[in-house]
Amino acid sequence: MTDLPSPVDYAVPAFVMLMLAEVWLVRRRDALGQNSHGYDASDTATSLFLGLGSTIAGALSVGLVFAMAVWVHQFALFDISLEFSRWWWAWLLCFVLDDLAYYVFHRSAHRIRWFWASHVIHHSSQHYNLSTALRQTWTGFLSLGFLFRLPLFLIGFPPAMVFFCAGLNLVYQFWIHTEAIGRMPRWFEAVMNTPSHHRVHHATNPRYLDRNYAGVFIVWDKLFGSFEPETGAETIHYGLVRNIGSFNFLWAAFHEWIGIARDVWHAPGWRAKLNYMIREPGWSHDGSRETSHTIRERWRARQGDLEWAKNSTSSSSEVVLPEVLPPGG
Amino acid sequence: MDWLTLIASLLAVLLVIGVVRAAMPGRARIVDPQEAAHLANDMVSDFATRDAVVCERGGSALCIGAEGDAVVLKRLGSRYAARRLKPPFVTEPTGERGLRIASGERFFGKVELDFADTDARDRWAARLMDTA
Repeated sequence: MTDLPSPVDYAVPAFVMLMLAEVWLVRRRDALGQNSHGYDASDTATSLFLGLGSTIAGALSVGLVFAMAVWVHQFALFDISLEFSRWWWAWLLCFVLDDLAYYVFHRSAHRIRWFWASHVIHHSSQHYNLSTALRQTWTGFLSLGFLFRLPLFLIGFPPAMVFFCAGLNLVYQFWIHTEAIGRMPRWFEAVMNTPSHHRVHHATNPRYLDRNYAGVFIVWDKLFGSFEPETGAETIHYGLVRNIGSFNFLWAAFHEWIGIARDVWHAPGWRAKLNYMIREPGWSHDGSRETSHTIRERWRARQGDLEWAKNSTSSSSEVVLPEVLPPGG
Repeated sequence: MDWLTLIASLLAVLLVIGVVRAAMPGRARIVDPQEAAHLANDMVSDFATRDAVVCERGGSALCIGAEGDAVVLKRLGSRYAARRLKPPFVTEPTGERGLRIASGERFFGKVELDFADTDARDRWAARLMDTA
């Protein structure tokens, strides 16, 4: 199919070593009293079995995806070769444009439920560590995520080049799934996706919902208005707005597809049935559910109220802040 | 992917799980109702806890909200999973001190609340019904 190696295959031993190093680091920090509970065996098992299953699912569909890419490539606008010494700039351009395609795919994966049904697996862990990076979809082919790379083949980048760059992109994204690294140097944070930026992406705090879709270059989020910096002012909660509450990896892999099927079955009318597949996650025909947009807007409104209340303290003697909770019994 | 790669990957997966199991034996434990309330408020959008109780040595908690709703927290490894429940609440007493609350979802399951004594259990069960 292609003479180029798969970067992911070569990176697997490094993935394992880095995970073990992170476990050691988390344990050391916990011993010093941080008690982060950064790893949990059941959660790690779910992540890794989902990762293994994803590799098998990918191997089953790779031939078809590659054949489709080759077919599209025959209509290419430019004739670009794999030869690195002559086409090195095309390799660089391919990597950058592939990352842009990834950004568009990833943003869609959070805004269109059909794509989300596949991508939700990656967000289903309430932990954020290197094993979370390997919690990957089993149903990528079904959700048609590969369509987002087709423009690259039409431009003229050879399928082997694009898939190699996509592999590098995936390898890059492994190390950003960690709480072990705080911030990188300022210049790096400005251009590249980092653990700090990607923690925001995995957070369920209203401030951070549906932000930072970047793969390698965070500049896409800054360009297209989806960037949110990590503030450090609030504890990050990872996972889903409505966590699945189970370590069952089959449920993690298929729960959103089952949810779509149920909603489509019960929806009144064809428009509602279609919308349950193509509208944003959380959309419902009667408005009874919450989308990330409604959650964020309500949070913003509440922040506005609090800000107003705080500001009014300077001119009045007292302010009503949220009730301090009484102890239970 | 060939069989050798698959077997090697499976062994690597088992190795990492084994190391994590050995190195990270701790489980999550909610210390007091205040912590349960903070968790519920943070994890469930627009939920405001009015009162909370921690059960089963920190393994689960019940938070009663301001709008006739409630949040149950159940331990999931070293984290908690939360579900907002709205009336009618489906509960059943279990044993001397237990109260089982249905989440309405098969995979989230029922949340077992283990109270200090029968009186506390009955008091909170009544409170839950009054809230609704």
